[in-house]
Amino acid sequence: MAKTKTLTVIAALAVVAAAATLPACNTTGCTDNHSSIPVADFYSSTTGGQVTIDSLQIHGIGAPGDSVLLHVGQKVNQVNLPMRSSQNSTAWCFSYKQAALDHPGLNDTITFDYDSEPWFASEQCGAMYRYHITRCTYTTHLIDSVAIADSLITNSQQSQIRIYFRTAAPGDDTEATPQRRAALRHTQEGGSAL
Amino acid sequence: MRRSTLVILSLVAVVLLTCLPVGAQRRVTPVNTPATRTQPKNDAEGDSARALERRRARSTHYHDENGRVVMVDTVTGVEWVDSTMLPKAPPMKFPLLHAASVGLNIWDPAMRLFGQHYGGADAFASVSLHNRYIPTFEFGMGTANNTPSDGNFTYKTPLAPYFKIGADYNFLYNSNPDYQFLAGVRYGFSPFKYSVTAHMDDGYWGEDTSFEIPSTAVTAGWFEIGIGLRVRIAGNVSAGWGVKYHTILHRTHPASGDAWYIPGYGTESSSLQCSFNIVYTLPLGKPKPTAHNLPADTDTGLPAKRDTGTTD
Repeated sequence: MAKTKTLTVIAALAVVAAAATLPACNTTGCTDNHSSIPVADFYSSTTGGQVTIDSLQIHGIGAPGDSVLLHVGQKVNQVNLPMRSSQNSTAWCFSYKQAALDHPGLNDTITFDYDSEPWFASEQCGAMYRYHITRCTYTTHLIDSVAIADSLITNSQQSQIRIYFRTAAPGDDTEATPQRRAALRHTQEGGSAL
Repeated sequence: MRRSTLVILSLVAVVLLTCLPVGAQRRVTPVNTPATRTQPKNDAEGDSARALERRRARSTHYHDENGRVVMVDTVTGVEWVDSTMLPKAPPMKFPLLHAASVGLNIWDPAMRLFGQHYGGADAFASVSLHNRYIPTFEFGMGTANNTPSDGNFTYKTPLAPYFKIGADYNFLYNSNPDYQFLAGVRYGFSPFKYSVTAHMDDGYWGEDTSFEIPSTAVTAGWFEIGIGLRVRIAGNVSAGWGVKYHTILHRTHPASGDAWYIPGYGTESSSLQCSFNIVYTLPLGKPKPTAHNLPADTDTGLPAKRDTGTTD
């Protein structure tokens, strides 16, 4: 009987210890974003590698006061481009503030068309929209192309979009390379349907 | 004369040399037939039981430091163990239909009093077989209504059923049934619905939106493994408590997102679950007399003559 009582005490302690750990098991926190925001990485169309840019300004077309999302001087190689949850399309203006490129006529525009659907991510991350990109159109002044790796935009922090810029090759004159002149003269509008 | 004797001896030798091989061949016994390949050698002398009995008869024995019986062949001096005398598993003290129980798990209702925003209650019925194996069926109802203070949504699951089927194993099966130390497994299943209303504050675009995930029907199945303790507290009433680890085996993955709460399982992120049961037990059979009350030396199965060290 003493053995039984010992087992009783051990089991009771085990249950209490397990109950004490339950809250810790439930509060893992949100390890992703609290909303679905596509992450766009910057690449060089010349080298194919990721590039860092410090003369780029980005703002959403239609945002209140043309709010600037990315300011000049920020060295970045990727940017978050939040979608308009109340619309089925979001457009972004890319302005290049580098000397000889700082002209409104050289700005690029990327437009995403998408279907949005309500989505419950988790207790920690909450409820949000997620987006199925159906079409992506863009101008090609200094943007060479835009690639969509995954058309489903969720709250994961993985990059789904690649923006390829026309850049000078290493060692080229940054002001008047043939590549730059070709880029400046290139004004046709490109696009890709997804 | 001498010549005729030599002739006779030669004839006899020829006859013998001619007949001996024939006689030798007649004595040859096939040793590689299907029968000889499948028969033990001692079949000619009797079956293995009789051989074992003869070996026992010419052996004495002693008990080693662990109390085990070691036989010693007094002819060859070889020590051997009689496998027929090894201790047998203790017999079941309680009858097959020992008891039937019904119970109520009140863990979730108690937790809701402390602010938990989900849960329900379940009842179960079980049958105790030999006070050892306890098949169990559970039925319960669960619901959720959760608006996290740091969240942007309200999650609701209307009252939905769940079922569990499995069995427990009582480690103290030959002890006082008032105390049970249990380990068990369950398979659980629940069909249920959930809905979500949410509000999004879109800071960059300045557009606040509200949306709703309408009622979505889903199912989930899961596996549980746990340990517990049950103690009789008064009359036929017992209290039991335990802890379970569970994992989802299959579930519906709707386009609007996985369900946060599963009736009977809890929240999807939890891997442990506790229970506290109030149980009523109806006895069906009484303990039967077993070998526990018999003299200890009877259990060894040794005839008395072996205790004296009989030799051939």
